[in-house]
Amino acid sequence: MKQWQRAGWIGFLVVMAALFLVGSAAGQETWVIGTSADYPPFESVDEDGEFVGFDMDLIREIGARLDREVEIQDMDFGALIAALERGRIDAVIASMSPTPERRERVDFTDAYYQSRQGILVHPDTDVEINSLEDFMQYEFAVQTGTTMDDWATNRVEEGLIEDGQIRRYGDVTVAAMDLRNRRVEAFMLDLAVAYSLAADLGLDVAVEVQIEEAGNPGILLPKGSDEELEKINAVLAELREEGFIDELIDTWLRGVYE
Amino acid sequence: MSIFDDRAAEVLQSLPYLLQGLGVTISVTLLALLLGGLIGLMGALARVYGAAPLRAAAAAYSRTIRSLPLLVILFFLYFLGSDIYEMSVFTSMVLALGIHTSAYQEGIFRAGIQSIERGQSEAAAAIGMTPFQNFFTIVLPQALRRCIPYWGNEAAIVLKDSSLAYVLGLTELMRRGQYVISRTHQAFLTYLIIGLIYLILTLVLTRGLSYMEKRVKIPG
Repeated sequence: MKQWQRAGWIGFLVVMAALFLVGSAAGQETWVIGTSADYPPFESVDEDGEFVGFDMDLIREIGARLDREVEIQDMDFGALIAALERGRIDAVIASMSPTPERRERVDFTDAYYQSRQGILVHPDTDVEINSLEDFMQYEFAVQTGTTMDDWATNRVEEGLIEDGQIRRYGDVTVAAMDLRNRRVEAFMLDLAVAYSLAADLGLDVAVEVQIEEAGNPGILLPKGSDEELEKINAVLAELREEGFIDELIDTWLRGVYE
Repeated sequence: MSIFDDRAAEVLQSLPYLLQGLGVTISVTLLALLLGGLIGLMGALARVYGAAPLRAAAAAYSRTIRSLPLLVILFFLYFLGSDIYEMSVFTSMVLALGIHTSAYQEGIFRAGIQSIERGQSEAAAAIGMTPFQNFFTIVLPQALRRCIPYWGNEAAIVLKDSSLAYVLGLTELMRRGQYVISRTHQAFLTYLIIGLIYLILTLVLTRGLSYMEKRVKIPG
């Protein structure tokens, strides 16, 4: 019986320790920002476990100007809007652009960045892509829940492509790996991310495009937060005027559009 | 595609960073196992000894939970549960995983309890033991011993299921691995390292349990 008693005590101590941890984590008043930190150069985690990137610098600056302590809460891209709607986070910055569906559920601030898309291909390939029309001929990858995914879905509805041509991935890196292993023929994603992946994995950006579905990314707020929207838009205008956003583009996306 | 790319060194340098996620992985696993064990044991008792309505309720609970994917339980607690009480991701994951495993542990404990021959309980009653005494001194100690191998399987599954919390950004082993992958784009090597860490954890767990099984074995 001794052993069972000992196991019981250890279990009890573990529970108490956990309750203590949970209790001490609660109760801090901060501005909780949701993101999906697997999208460099916009948001990622560096060697020291810090959230870094274009979006992270931007939101911290906005936080500083509004006198708020920014706390980054990372989660899967697809879970962000639900978390915002349920009040688990106060705002989202995740290189996310407004779409009609998203606008029904959340509010978007003004855009802070002009988004463009790139089509990645394998360097040794006979895949010829010079336009979106060419791209539609191939079996291609998009990231789930992105505006590129919406673009593909809309083209299916118009009968321009077959649903079977689309490979949807949760993670951009996994999609790029599949492209490198030639399991897909092309991959459309945000231009800056496309160039960063191309450089790291030895892929080519076949063409730069601009899809109608992609608005320009903004910060997401819960539906009906008019006052907050005004505040943040004012700060964004200020930052644009002062050249802070251009500086961010230089820092994080430099070389991308050369 | 080769595993050892020119950025492999960067992945290896991230090993300490990955290992920092171990604490979360281990505490989620242990707490969920414990919670699941408590609920599971109560469920098993209800199904073996309970009155008809209690039996039915316990059976319905176990069937329902078994039919729900862990992710559904997790999202349910984290998003909808926040109306009642705002839980952290960590708490949501412990509860979700604990509830999920409780349905399976209930089956393990029930099988263990039912494997003890009825004759022993009859003998206990004959020498004047109360049903309570009978259960705690005769049935349960033997039943729990018989459960150890099956419980070990479940524990190994719970350990790996704990990685699912990455979808809500709990920075356990798996999510940390994804950070390293999106930074270095070295998916193969990173997943290989994570796989090895899970392998070592599982080995420690199963070895520990088989050692315990030997230690508490009934002689003869």
